[in-house]
Amino acid sequence: MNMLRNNWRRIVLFLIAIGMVMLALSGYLTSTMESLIDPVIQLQTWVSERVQIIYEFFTIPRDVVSLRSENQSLQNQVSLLQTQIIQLEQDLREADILYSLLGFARGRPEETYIAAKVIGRDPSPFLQYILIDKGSDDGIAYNMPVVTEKGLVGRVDAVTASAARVQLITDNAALVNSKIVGEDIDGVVRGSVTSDITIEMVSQEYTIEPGQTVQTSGLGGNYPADITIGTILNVNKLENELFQSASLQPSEDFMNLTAVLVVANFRPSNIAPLMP
Amino acid sequence: MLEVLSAFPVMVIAGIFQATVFSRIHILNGSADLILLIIIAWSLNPNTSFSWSWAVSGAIIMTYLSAIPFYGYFLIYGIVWLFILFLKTFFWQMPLILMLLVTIFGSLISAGISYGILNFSVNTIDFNLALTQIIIPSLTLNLLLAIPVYGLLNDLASAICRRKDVE
Repeated sequence: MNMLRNNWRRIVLFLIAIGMVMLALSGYLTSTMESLIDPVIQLQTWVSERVQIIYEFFTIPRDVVSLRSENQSLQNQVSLLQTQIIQLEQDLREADILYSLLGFARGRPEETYIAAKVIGRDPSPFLQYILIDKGSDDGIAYNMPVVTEKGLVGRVDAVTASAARVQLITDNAALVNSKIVGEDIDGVVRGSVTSDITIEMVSQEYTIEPGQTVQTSGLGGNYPADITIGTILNVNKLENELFQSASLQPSEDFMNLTAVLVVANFRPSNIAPLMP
Repeated sequence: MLEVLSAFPVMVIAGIFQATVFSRIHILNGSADLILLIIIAWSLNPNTSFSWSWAVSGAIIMTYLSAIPFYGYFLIYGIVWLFILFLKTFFWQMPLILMLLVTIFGSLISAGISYGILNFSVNTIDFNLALTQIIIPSLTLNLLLAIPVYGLLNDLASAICRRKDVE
């Protein structure tokens, strides 16, 4: 009894503690606890944010430098890859052109070809010439015919050791003996200062129509026979003229020539001494 | 001396640009003549004294690149150079407006001589066709290119010929 009287405070505290635990376990103290804990959490959040800000203040500049250097390195890599993509695309285009030229060369096994790149055009707007990167050192000679897989391009006009100048069939002074495919009709294809080509000297007794294909005839010995020149666009036939003519759509786009084939084993005939 | 020595390398570079870039840039069938513009801009600069070497170098390069007979470009650039020499006796300053004036004159001389040479030596060319499809478009392109070329060459001429003044 004496012991109970001496420890009554402890017993009361113990009972209160037990009561609090029981209340907490039964859920009656949840709202009270939340209202007590929330300010603590808010305070902790506020302190944590400030600490984070101070930490970043000292550490982020270093990160920016490292990020910048990483970004620079990645940008360099992207530039390098883009350059490689462009180079590969260019190689692919060149390969396509060369495959086409190879296909054409295989289709005409009787002729030997020298492939050449187009490296420039004549600076004079009055003339239609191109410069190629093969010359006499590679076997190119004066007057050799020049073709692509699409058709006739022209003939070699001047040669140096490592380059040559080619007169296109669209040049004002170019003349090519030609024929209309499927018909026994001969004519002469002539260029102009505006790069348009026409077939002239076609006899009035024949009927020519748009869409017909024009090829080299081989007459005169300047070009091999049966190389496509273009297709007929418009026919110009006047009753009071000796011959009819027609404008042609060239088979090759001469503004975008990148590679050509020089017919190496064709030797043009010089018929000038036989002319009256 | 540096002026003479620098003429050929500059003209070789200009010739490469002419054959690869400017010959492909067309208005109708006309194209710009970069070499002509360089010769005009260089000759108009009041500090230059050996501009004839630039005209000769330009003519050599163009004769190599073009199928025009060899005397053609010597004649064209020679006449333009003489015209500028004539102008220099009347004008002590060479403003941009004179560059445009000489560009018009030079383009017409160039077109006229090219037309004449080809008309006589190769084939008859329809003048109206040449005028509308080549001469006027080429003149337009030359005028468009004249201002940047003048700016560039004027600075280059001043830089190269300043050394001569110091000496």
